[in-house]
Amino acid sequence: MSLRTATTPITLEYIKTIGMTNNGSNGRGFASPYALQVSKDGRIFVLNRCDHVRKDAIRVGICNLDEEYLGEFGQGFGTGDENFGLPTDMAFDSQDRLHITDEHLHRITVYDSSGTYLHKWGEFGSGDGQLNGPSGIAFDTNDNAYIVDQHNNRVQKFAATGDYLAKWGEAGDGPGQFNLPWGIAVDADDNAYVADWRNDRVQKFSADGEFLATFGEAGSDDGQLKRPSDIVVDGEGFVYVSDWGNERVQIFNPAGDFVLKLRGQATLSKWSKEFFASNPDEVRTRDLANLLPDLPEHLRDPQNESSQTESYFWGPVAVSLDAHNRLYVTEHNRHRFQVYSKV
Amino acid sequence: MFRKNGLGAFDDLLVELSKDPAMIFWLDNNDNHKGAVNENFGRELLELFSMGIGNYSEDDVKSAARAFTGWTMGNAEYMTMRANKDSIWPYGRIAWHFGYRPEDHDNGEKTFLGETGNLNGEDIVRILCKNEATPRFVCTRLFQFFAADEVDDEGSKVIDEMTRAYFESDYEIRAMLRTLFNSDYFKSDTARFARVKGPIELITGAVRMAGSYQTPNLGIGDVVNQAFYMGQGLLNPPTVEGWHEGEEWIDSGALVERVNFVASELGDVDKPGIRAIIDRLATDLGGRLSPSEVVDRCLDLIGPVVVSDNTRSALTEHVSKRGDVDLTSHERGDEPEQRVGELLSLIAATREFQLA
Repeated sequence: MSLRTATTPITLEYIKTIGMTNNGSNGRGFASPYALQVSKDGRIFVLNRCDHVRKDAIRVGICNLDEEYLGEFGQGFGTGDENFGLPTDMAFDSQDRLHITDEHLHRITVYDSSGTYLHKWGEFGSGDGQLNGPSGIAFDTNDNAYIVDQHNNRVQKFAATGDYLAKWGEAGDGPGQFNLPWGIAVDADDNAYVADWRNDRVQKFSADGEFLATFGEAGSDDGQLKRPSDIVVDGEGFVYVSDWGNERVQIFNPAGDFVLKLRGQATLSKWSKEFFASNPDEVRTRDLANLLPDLPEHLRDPQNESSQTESYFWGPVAVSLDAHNRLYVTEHNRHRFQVYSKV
Repeated sequence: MFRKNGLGAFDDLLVELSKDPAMIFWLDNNDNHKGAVNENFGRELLELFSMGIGNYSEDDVKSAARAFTGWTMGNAEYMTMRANKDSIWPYGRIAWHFGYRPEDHDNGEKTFLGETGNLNGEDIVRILCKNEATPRFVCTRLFQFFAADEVDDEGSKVIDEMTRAYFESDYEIRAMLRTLFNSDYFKSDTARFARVKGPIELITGAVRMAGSYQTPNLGIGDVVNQAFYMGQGLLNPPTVEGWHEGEEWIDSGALVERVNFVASELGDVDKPGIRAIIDRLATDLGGRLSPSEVVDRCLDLIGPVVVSDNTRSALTEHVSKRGDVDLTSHERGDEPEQRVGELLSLIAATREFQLA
């Protein structure tokens, strides 16, 4: 199914859904995935944030677009080199090294694309180069890392060597100020876009941190945002925002105007079909169930609709693009991601 | 549901409560069928959620239960199967939602509180909400939650006023609360320390005062556990009636837990809220405070908490053992700061701090 509005020059076609629940210590499936990135060779890396009670399920899983599960790495909850606390986001640099932020351990862990641990860095604090709850991470064309320093309400910029370069932002709701910022993206011109989570907006900055623009405002209408969590920009400058609190994805044109929204249209993944093939009793009852219910008026809000409508996004926490302009929407409450293609 | 309807009309709240899947499941209304009545919800609706015991008959209970037949959950079979199997739910959980099944509703004639007809659930709510026993019961519970555990003669007059506000406003909960909060009783000394703080109330006040959890973190789960140790496990009340409140919050075990938790929160001079108190003290009176001054200022800054003369004397005597508290050149965690933390911990252990 293609989605297109009368005024938009962008069309997105739904391709498929990949994933299913997995609370175990290994094997296919995801556990509250929070981020997704695609390597240069097309493998899909999914960050399973899970929770510390199911500590072994906190890891990175790897699959491909053909829904083959390729493996995982990371050693679950803890403080060791390959452990995680609350892993939040990840990004590949130009050498296909995967950098993972951890808002609990206040550090960045780096792996190569085979899943081999390379090193970690980061120190708690509010001084230059120190971190308090690092969340979003993105790289520019020079391999500089932009890291959202969430609880310090700022963005910090680091060189590929890890050296501190710059910072901008402070607590507040004015231009250039943040309130618990979360995701970040860098466009082809090295402008940075920040999902200013609690301010319900996106802010755009130059590579030097100069405030350039803001778009979105609190609300649920088209173009309005409620707790945006992540952001990605394609080669034409279209901005994809995971409008997490509204359980949707919104797309803005390069001028910051709303052009399209996605609510989700998940179908059964290959893994889910295989699950049902071995659990026929669930299939029979499922066929009788209404998974697209006509909810009563008092339940018609995004959270209730998403929690009771299996095909809708529920917890669309992250948006990602691959080299072929495919959009990946990661849902932490449905343990899956939906894939769209820009036509 | 409560956030949306909690200050609105009480009849609306009861209807939504009756449709809430958690309530349907909790009180078995999914097992309440035409010709095979389960009266659990019908009984508790009258006894616990509206009128209170003694204001209705057993026949009224049966009629109420029959009126709520067919009020169940959508997708009930699918959801029940998945719950029973503890299925891995390939895409996570599907939340329960209300579903009305007309074919399972008892359309026969029923008599409830003197009214006869083919009554449905909404009719039951309508009839019981216009009966004065309902606002009296609800207003008494609101009074006990916000003003005082025991209702004296003056308190009864406030409840009379709240009941009047209920009818004049078409059952608005907001109007009942406004009447309570604007009453002379609520603002009088009679209502001071007339309630035992519930565990959640006590814990929330302490962690907010200490500034311990300004953003979500992994430790927040331990705070929830603390409430359980004090006798209020969230989402897990001991009976359908809920928790027994007032003085029943206090027993020897719970009291130790209450004092220990709050004392550790308020005694930690690294917590941002406690640091703010220390910084305020350091700018007061040149930063050097006599024992009585530091006691008075601390009582003021964490409340204000008004304590008895005996309590104040005991606190002052304790501080006096080491003389004035000199914060003129204090550093994080030094001896004067620790003394402030110690004093705050002692205040947390007072009778007055445990009351509201």
